[in-house]
Amino acid sequence: MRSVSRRALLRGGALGVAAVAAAGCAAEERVPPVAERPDPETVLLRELIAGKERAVALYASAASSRLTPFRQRHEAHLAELRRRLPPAAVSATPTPSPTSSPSGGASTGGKASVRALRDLERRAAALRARQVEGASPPLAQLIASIGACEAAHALALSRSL
Amino acid sequence: MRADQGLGAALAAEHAAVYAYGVIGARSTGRLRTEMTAAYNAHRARRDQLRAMIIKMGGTPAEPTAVYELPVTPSTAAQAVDLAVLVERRVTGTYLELTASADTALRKMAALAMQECVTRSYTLRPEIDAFPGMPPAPAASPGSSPTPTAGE
Repeated sequence: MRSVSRRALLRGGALGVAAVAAAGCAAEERVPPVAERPDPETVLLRELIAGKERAVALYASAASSRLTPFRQRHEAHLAELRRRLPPAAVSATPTPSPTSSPSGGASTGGKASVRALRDLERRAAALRARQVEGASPPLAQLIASIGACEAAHALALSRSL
Repeated sequence: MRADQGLGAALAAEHAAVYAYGVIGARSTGRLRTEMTAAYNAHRARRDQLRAMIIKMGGTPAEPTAVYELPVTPSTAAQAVDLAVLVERRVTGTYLELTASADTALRKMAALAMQECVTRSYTLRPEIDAFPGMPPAPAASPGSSPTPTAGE
């Protein structure tokens, strides 16, 4: 083993300490405070809730009493999904009411057609089969159940075209 | 839930569904018979898929029992539809269990199978449950929302 003199060791150590100190200062200056990583389950729940809010708003815009049971089932989904949000997540981001203008997604400026609603339901049902993969077991069951309801919605709307 | 347990339960439900649709189809006529035969074939396909999955995982798929006790032996079209809808509900509930599996591929398969059961049921009786497969909600507590089930 190669011997290292005490002087060299001290010199190296001093340089090392200086380097660490410099790095520490740089880190303090450059690195912003590390944001807490959001809980994936909460992220998924928020995504589901946002989608349901858009669906409820679209059905509300259709203004057809024939479609009311469809909207009510989406509202039931929305209520159950909101119920499963952790209290901290609820207080951190207030969820807009279903009738308020949803951010992003389909526009609710006009009256939604049955065809548009059917397409929405089809896309939603297809998405649920993927979303179950990343959810906790209880949420996966809820998502699968919601997806089955949406698949039936899509079929019912197809028949009314 | 262990994957093999969930698969075994789903296979048992599919065995029962195949049996029930065999009886229902034999006692139906016309368009209803065509629908029941399609449902019979769909459940046979899922049964075979589940058997293959169990074997692939190193398990031994259960064989069907000789006879299944049906709640009614249908003698009218309405009874045939009643029984078929009941079968679809039971199979849906079994697949719901499987959507909680640790195996994500099984979850996806079960979620799609649930959608098939529910749409098949809708073709027979146009009713939609807000939460298919889920046990009925307990008595409503203050602030809880209704879960509508309505014919379209």
